[in-house]
Formats: sequence, C-alpha cells, structure tokens
Amino acid sequence: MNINKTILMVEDNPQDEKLMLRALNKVNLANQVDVVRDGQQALDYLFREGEFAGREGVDLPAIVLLDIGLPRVSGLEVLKRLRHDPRTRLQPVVILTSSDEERDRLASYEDGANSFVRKPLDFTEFAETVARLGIYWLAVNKPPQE
Amino acid sequence: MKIRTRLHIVTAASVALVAIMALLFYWSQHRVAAANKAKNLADEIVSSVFERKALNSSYLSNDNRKARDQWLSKQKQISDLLKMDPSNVVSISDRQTFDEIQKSLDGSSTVFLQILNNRENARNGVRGQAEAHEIESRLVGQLLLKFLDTIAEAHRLQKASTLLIASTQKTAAKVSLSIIVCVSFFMIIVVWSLGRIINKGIKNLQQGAAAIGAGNLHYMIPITGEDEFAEVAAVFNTMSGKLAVSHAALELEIVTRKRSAAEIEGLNQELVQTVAQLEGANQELEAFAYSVSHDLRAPLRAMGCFSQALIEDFGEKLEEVACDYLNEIVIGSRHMGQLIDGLLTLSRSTRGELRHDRVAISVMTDRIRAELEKSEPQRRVVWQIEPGLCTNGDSRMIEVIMRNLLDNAWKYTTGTTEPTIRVYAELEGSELFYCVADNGAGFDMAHAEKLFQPFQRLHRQDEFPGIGIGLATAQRIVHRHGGIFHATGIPHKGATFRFSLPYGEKQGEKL
Repeated sequence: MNINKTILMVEDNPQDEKLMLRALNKVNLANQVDVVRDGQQALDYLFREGEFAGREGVDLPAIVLLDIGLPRVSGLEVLKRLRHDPRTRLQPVVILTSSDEERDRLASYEDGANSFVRKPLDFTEFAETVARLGIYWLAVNKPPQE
Repeated sequence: MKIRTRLHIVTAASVALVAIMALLFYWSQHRVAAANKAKNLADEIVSSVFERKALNSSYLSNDNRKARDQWLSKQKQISDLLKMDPSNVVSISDRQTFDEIQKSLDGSSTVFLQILNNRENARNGVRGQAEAHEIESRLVGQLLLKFLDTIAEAHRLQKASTLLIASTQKTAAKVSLSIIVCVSFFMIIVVWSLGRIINKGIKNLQQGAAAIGAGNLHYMIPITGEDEFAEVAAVFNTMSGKLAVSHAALELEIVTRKRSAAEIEGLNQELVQTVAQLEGANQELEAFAYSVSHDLRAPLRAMGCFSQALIEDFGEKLEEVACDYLNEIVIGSRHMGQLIDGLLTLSRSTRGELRHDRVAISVMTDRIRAELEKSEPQRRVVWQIEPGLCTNGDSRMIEVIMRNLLDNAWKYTTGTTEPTIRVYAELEGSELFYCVADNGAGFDMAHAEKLFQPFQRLHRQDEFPGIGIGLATAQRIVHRHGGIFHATGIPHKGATFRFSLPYGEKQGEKL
C-alpha cells in the first residue's frame, strides 16, 4: 500500500465543500484535495472501480475526511467496507460531521475511525479545524507504510 | 316410626315376655303347692278316718274306755284339720267336698254318741239287753255307712287335687308356649321390617352419594317415613343443595375470572400496542432530533461562515453598516446554533437508559468552576463548595444539571458586588437536597412556574443572554431520577435551586 499526499474529501453538501476548500486553500493544501459527493463514489475512488476504474497505479490518499450523512451509501457503511478490505484496512479515516450524537461517535470508533471531529458552527473555528486537520494528516502524521 | 322407637318396642316386649313367664311360673307353682296341700290334707283325713275306725272297732268289741276317749279326740283332730282349710286355693267343688266330709264326720259322731248312750242305758238297765243290742247293731251299721261316705269324699278330694296339679302344669305349659310363639313372631316381624328399612335407607344414601359423586349436585334422596334415615336423607339433601349452590357460585366465579382474564388480555394487548406506538413515536422523535442536529446545522453554518468569509475577504470594500449587518447574521446563526444544542440536550435528557454511576458532586462543581473562571478571568466570584458531596445516578445527566445551575449562578451574579456562589447539601425530612445558591439578580416568585418551561425567560436578552432551556432540562433530569426540584428567589437578592436524587440514592444502597 502506497500513500501519496492527497486528501479525499467525501462531502455531499456543496456549501460545506466550498467552506472546507477555502480553509484548505488558506494553508495551501487546496490543490491536493480530491472531492467525491456520495458514499458509492468514495468506494469507487478508493477501490478504483466504476468511474475511477482507469486510475490504476494511483496511490491511496493520505487521509479520508468522511461525512456520516451521505446519499446512497452512508459514511459508516463506507468505513466498514474499507476496514473489511485488505487493501484499505489501514487507510486513515477522519469522521467529520455535524452530528454530536453519542451513538454516532461510538459507532464510528467501533468501525475503526482514526478520529471523530464535529464540524463547528463558528466560521473561524471551522476554518481552523479543517486547516489543522489537513496539516496534521499530511505533514505531522506518519502513515502505516511509505 | 323411628328405628330407635322400634328397638325400644322390641326391648319392652322382651322384658314383658320375661315378666309374664315369671308370673306364670309363680302362678303355677302356687297352684301346684295349694293342690299338694289339699292332697296331703285328704291323705291325712283318710288315715285319720281309718285310725278312728280302728278305735271305733276296738271300743265296740272290748268296750274299751280308752279307745272311746281316743276316738273322740281323733274326731276333734279331724275337725280341726278340716277347719284350717286352704280356702285360698280350694275351688268351690273342693269346698263342697270339705263340707260333705265335715257333715259325714258330724254324722258319724252323732251315731257314735248314740251308741255310747245306748250302752249306758243298757248298763243301767234302762233298756233291755236285746233291745240295746239291736239298737247298737243298727247304729254300727249307720256308723260304717258314715265311714264309707267320709272315705269316698276324702278320695274325691285327693283326686281333685291331683287333677288340679295336672291341669295347672298343662295350662302353664300351654300359656308359656303360646306367649313364646307370639313374641317370637312379633320379634321376627319387627326385625325383618327393621332390616328392610335399614337396607332401603342405606341403598338410598348409596345412590345419592354415587349421583353426587358423578356430578349431579341437584340429586335429592327421596324422604319416606320419619325415621333416622329420613333425617340423614334430609341432612344429605341440605348438604347437596348447599354444594350445588356453592358449585354454581364457583362456576360463576370461574366465568367471571375468565372474563376478567380476557379483559386483562385485551388491555394487555392494547398496552402492547400503545407501547409499540410510543416506541414508534420515540423513534420518530429521535430521528427528528438527529435530523435537527445534523441537517439544520449545515445551512446555519453556511450562513454564519459565508457571512464571516465576506467580512474577512471583502471587509475593506464594504461599508461599515454592511459589515455590521453581516456580524448580526453571524451572531444570529450562533444563537440559533445554541438553541439547537439546548433543544438536543433537553430531548436527550428524557431519552435513553439512566446509568448508575458514583458522582462526586463537589469535584464536578470544582471542575465547572475552573472552566467558568477561565472563560471570564477578569471576574472575581467567591465560591463556597461543601467538600465530599457524592451521589449515585447518571453522571452525564447530573453534570448537565450542575452545569446549567452553575452557568446561571455565574451569569446572574455578573452585576453583583461581592458575588458569592454556594454549593451544599441539606436534609429535609428523610430526603437529601443538593443546593446551588447565589446572591445575584434573583427572580420574582410570582413568575417561578415560568422558570421550568422551555424558552420562557424572566430576564431580557440585553440584561442576561440565554435561551431559556437549561432549567427545563435540569428539572426533567431530576424527575427522571425520581427527585424534586425547587427554586426560590428574591429579586436583586439571589436565587436558590434545590434538588433531590432518590433514584441515585436507592441505587447506591443496592451497590
């Protein structure tokens, strides 16, 4: 498993997507972000299937920012499938969601999330959080394999 | 007739039989004795008459004076014997026989005296020898006739006595035999009829018992006569009647119970349905809360964040008023976010299982105090926290209570000089109350009930900002722990909030 320096953002809300890209842009990470808009697309991207079948040879992202409430396949279901597949078993995944329900948090960790972050309401906080996440997972964190 | 009476009659008859037999025996013995006496008398008379005849002959042949005196005395002895007649037993014919004997004796006595007189006359020469002799011969003949008469009468008496004995014995035998036959017949009849009655009674009782045993509780034993079996049958019938009544009551009871059971079953099903509906409603509520938490926040965030982005990226190009308006949008969306969070906390406080934790209230209070002091480090508040306060309950929920109460106390002492917040426990009756008191803005007790209604506030936003949902949430959590929540306040003097957590304390006893 090879890991490159990209971020996969799984986000169905275009406003959140725009806000997150703006925040990452502020820390010069915007050009390393791939965006998919539902769970099925995320799976296709990571397993190189469907519309991403031609991406053979491209490495897995350094981090997946995964929302829970997604169309077609939910965030938690995507996480489960990643953990059950030997190729993506160790893929770092951060759950980034509006929910602060305890059961969502528990379920995320049970399914093997590396981190659980609630999207802050406040813009400054939100931008800071996203920017920090990007820097941390791309620059600070050591992936399972180089 | 009663069986007991019948048995009494049999006993009485037996006693009477014995008495009659005894009487009969006594009577026959008496008769036989009297007859024997008469016979003996006759025998004695016969022997005395013969003796007198010998004396008579002796005197007549030898002119023996001694024999003449003996004859006279014998004559007197026989008269005496006859005088002491056993009149109590002797029949009329016997008495006639006695009279006849007496008469012939008297006659012979007269004749003997005439002979004596004749001899005297002859001896004195009054009468001639030949004439005297002739007279004596005639008198001796008469005397002999009298003697034969007497013997014949005495024999008749003997015979009568013998006959009497025989007849007495015969009569006694006949009477006793007939009595025995009669009484035996009577007793056989009585015993047979008794046996029949007892047999019939037992059979009736058997039939009744069998019928009732087979379940026919309305069976009545036919009552005939007035004997003990009739009494037993009457008692039996009463018993079976009562049995039938109680059986009917039992059946009615069973029917009632079955009906009640069916009703309970119906109610249970209704309850199950209601519970299912409630669960459905709860799930909907949860889904709604989740949706509020997740979906409402995204557009809210977009509003706030893009407004702030506008200020950040284009602030220099905008007029001051435009920036101000954008700020208002940011503040508004932030307030709405707080409202949503408050609503979620309120909704969560009534959902889910209560956990059983050991909760150190003093430690928890100290932690919240530190957070509050950090949020506004310029403020100086005096804290009086009773050390060592502990309870049992759901720690997350109790933290919500304490956070709400302490946030309020912190907030409403903002304008107070020498603000003080006290946390302590006190006993009221047997119940332990935890108290949070401050000397802040307080409230008017007239509006106290509004305190616990969601979104009802007693202060304006520009005085003390807030969403008016904290106390409602705290009160619900206390109620879920089975406790009581009190609030007392005086305007500009302060407020005290007291709550108990009996659920937690009971869980604590179990631990």
